[in-house]
Amino acid sequence: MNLFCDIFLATLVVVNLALAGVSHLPTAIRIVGLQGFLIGLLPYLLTGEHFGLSAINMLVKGGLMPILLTYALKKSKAVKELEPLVSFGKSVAIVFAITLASFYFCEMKGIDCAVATRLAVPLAFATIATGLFLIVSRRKAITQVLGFLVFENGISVFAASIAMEYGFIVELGILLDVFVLVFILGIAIFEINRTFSSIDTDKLNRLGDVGHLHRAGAR
Amino acid sequence: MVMKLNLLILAVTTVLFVACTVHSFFYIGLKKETWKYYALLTLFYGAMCAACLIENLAGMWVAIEATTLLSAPLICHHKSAESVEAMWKYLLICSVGIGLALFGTLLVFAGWHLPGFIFVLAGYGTKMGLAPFHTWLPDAHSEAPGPVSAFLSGALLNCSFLAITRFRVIMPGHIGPFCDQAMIALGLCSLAIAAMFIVRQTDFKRLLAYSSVEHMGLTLIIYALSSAAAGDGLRYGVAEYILPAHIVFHSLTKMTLFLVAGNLLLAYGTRQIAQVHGLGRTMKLHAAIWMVGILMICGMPPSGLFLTELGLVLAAPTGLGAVVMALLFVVFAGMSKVAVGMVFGNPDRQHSAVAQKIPQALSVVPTVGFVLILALGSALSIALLR
Repeated sequence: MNLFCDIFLATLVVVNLALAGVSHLPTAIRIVGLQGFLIGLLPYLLTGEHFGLSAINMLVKGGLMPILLTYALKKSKAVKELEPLVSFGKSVAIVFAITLASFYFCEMKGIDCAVATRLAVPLAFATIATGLFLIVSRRKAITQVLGFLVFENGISVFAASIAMEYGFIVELGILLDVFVLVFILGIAIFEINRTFSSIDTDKLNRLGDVGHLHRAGAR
Repeated sequence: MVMKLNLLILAVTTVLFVACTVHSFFYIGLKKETWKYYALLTLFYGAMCAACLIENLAGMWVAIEATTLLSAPLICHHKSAESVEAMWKYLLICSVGIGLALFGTLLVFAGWHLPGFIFVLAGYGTKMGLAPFHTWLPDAHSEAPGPVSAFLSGALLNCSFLAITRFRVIMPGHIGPFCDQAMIALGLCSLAIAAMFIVRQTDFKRLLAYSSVEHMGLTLIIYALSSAAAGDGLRYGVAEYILPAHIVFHSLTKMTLFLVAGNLLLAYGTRQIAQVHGLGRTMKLHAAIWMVGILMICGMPPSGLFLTELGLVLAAPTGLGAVVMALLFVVFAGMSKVAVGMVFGNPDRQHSAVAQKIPQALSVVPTVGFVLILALGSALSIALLR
């Protein structure tokens, strides 16, 4: 079981690196769906209990959310992340560095409270940081949503690795929140596409005080 | 302390919900198309009640994230390009912030209290509008319809504050002083950034939004000082009534001001301070509430905020007290300049007939709120004098 868990967790590194390097948006959505599916399975693998919860998690994160996002993407007619703020090559290098750093950090601090495997906590940190990195380094609204999902997946890995049990209702509540968030973000992407005729978030620059002062100065 | 505080915030939220809903009847109207607005407003209120009442910390997280989700479509009620942008920023920034708070909650559960508290403070601090995580707040508050801004500012921010206090009370004694210092630092930062942007502000709804950032900073400083006093070995502390009084008076005053600001936006069709002159001639009642309300939110007696801010400055260590007082003075200067510019002077010719444009009913709730804060403030002052 332990070896299986380790192999399972090691695929997370591959998934993170793949996400940093992929520009084709439908593929990116599928990769995040795969990650959600794997992470949904994790609590069951680590503890051998809670199969029902794992199944719901897998269904929502691996099935429903990718379908919703694909639908939003089709409506917006965007296919590729063309000019990310950090180029794809550099992104892969940065995600790799993040992963190494989190392993080094956990080794140095002696953080090892995982129930079954020592890989879980450093990988959770690495996934959380990768999600945050994707949010700040990408232009398209949909990639930022994907970044948020990766970030949230990282938190789920962490919760599973410290054997945290919120209780069934709270677990469902968290899942519902994330699902509704993706749903509303999907609607927001649709609205952004309709009003700005693209889903590049750097077009969202009408508000804000500093920019406002700049514009006033330019005039 | 915590149990009392959550009931107080629940009560304030309920009063604001009633006021904002009644005002919405006049502002948004009761039509078939607006059912979504009222449904979301009610669910939003329900989520805040849940956030106040759920004792399980992860359960409270679920409720607070739900408040983000339910209020986002309300911000986007007008469907303009700016409001879509505001909604996107609100959703993304707050969700990431709240996600960090969940991570912090897990760290606390795992027994790593210090990093856990830092993540919780940053996470719920984002939702509470503390600088430097406040960037969503002026955008969302300025783009939302008047009653929604009032509700967001007066009720939602308090709920996130409540979440921070819940984590502070379960921190073990040896890291308590650090937590208090972190909260004071964040509060001061909010105060300073709010003062900076208030002085140069050109938009009156954003002005009120930055004033909320300022008051959230003050609330956090007051809380940090009172919890420092409760812990051992620290000699500073503020009187017990100050924190609840600050929350109540800030919420009520800010609600009244945001409702008036919404009415002014309706009458003038602009949020630019420079384009509004001579309110005193065109909309007398609104002008009076706006002028006195702004003075009261800056802490002029008989506002309760005068008493709480005075209590804070007197109880704080000398250096902190001096800095807070200086920043409060800057805020006062910036806000009163705006109020004077808008209320006095001669109205532009094109605006001379605006007062007729907005229905009389829109001034009911702000007037009631205004009378309420005046009466409560005077009562508190007299009670303290005795």
